[in-house]
Amino acid sequence: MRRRVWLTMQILIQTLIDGLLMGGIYGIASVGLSIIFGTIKIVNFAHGEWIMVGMYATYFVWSFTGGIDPFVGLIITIPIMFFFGLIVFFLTIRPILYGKGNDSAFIFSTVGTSLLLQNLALLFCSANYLAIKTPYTGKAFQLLGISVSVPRIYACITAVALSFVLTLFLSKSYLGKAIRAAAQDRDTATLMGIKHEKVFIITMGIGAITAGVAGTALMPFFYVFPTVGVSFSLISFVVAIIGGLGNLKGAFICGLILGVTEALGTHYIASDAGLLVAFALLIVVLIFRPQGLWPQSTMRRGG
Amino acid sequence: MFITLRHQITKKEIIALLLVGLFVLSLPGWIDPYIQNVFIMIFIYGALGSAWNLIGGYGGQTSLGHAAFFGIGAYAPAILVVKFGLSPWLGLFVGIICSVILSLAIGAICFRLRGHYFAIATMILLEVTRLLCLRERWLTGGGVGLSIPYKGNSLYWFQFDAKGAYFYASLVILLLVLFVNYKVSVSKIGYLLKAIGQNEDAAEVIGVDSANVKRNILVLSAALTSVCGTFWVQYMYFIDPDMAFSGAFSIEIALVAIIGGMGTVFGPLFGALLLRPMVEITSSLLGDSFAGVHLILYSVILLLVVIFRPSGIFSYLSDWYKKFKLKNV
Repeated sequence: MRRRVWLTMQILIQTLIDGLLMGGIYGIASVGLSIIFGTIKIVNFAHGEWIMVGMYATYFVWSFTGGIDPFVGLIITIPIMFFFGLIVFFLTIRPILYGKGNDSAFIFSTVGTSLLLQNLALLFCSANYLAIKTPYTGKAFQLLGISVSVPRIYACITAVALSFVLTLFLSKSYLGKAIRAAAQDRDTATLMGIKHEKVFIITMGIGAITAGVAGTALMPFFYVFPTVGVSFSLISFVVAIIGGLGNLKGAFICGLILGVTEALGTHYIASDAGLLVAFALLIVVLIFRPQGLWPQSTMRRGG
Repeated sequence: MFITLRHQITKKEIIALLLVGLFVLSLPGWIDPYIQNVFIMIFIYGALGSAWNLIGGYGGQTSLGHAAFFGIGAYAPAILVVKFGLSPWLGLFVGIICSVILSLAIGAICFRLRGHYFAIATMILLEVTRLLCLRERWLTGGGVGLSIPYKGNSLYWFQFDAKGAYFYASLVILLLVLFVNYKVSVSKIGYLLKAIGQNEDAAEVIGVDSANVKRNILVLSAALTSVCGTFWVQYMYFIDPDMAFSGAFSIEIALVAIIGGMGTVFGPLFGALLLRPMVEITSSLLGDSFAGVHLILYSVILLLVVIFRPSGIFSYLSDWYKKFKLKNV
């Protein structure tokens, strides 16, 4: 009897840990979505595809350097993703920002970007699943009968570290303060001498970097294919809506919550019900608290 | 152009319209089945785009989940025929009713949200319907999909040996959706929608019940989309969740309307007229090995249109026609 209770507990804790580790990645993905929404006021419908690009970048860096550790490879991946963000900004966002388009024009342009990236990946990288091999892929260590996957631990640590650095950057550095100022009130910030276009460029770059790091963190235990981003897009939307769009701390915490919810749903309801439970959570939140759990704080206190 | 100048339709225009109409009606008589298929696709995509246009164009509420209604419209007759042996005509109405119920639910949940939130919520609800459809294997056949058995050439089963019959059926659906678009564009609800689309806060201040108006138009749009889904499954004899509830298909529906011209009666049809032949040409030139090429073209065209001509490509034509008319009157 006692053994049985312990086993149930073990399974529960195992599920919670798995969920939390995955939740870290969801969190960092949603932080990228949230910072772009908070500052430029657009929802990046291509965010999942950015993560896909980050995963492909990680893969190619890994294969061209002959098997460098993906986390070391970040020194190459991060600049690539930053410039990727700039290119996307100059090609698809800036012309609309200063053009004739209205709010929904941004939806169309980011949706178009996501379709474009997906199919370019299909054209140039084929629909095959690609994975990288690291010394710790598939490794796990045992702790009181609970097995913890090593690459997932690395992924979660990376996600937490990145969001910590990001919070620090936003609250301490001059540029970070400028981003927060522009997020709160674009016009006033411009009057105070902040060049908002520069702020937008940096924000897009940061958003792309977070997507890239999420992709890198995923690669040691996941595989990449052209439509891998779709589910990540949906999850970061769910997270961002539950957390309140534009709130970084809310986004990260909700990422963790969602990871746990999904793991619990997958384990206790059905193996394919994980996402459904997450979406059910979203619908409940939309009905009872449509403004999200932490609304209206557009990066006020740097986080 | 027909909206703004509708009181001054000249005799010449009526004759031209009649000639175009007769030409289209005569098409199945002399073109080969492959080209007929292209026309059917144009009509159905035009109808889908126009149905999307009601909520997305006139109402300015970007829905990225319209495939949900399409999928329900396709699955309802498929399930009724395969599992219960009932006529697809019944399935048509069951599909419409289910789509209306779903659209009411979506409206209740999403219309408190605006702009980006609405787009995200519709996208997620589509994914919910897809996952449910994959899970409930006893009803929908799961990922395998449903194949409609061939019952012979009959109107009762809505199965025909001649492609021409499908051609005329899709034309009827297209004309129905265009008629609804036209009616909406000249009726009170159309003007209310345009007001909401331009500035929702201002519209509410002057007394427009925006949630109510948006819900009504979403219901209408959902019902028409569902009809297209029913036609689709009867024409293809097959449906599976990845087709019926796909996000990419939702985006394609919206693309047709956006590229053609949102908020106009003929814009979405024009978009389908441009895009569908392009799909056929790329797929016949490049074959299946480059499955995504037409979507690359789609998205590049979309980006160009959004950046350089947000009012859609059809507006080039209507502007040109207005000038032409002024010169000749």
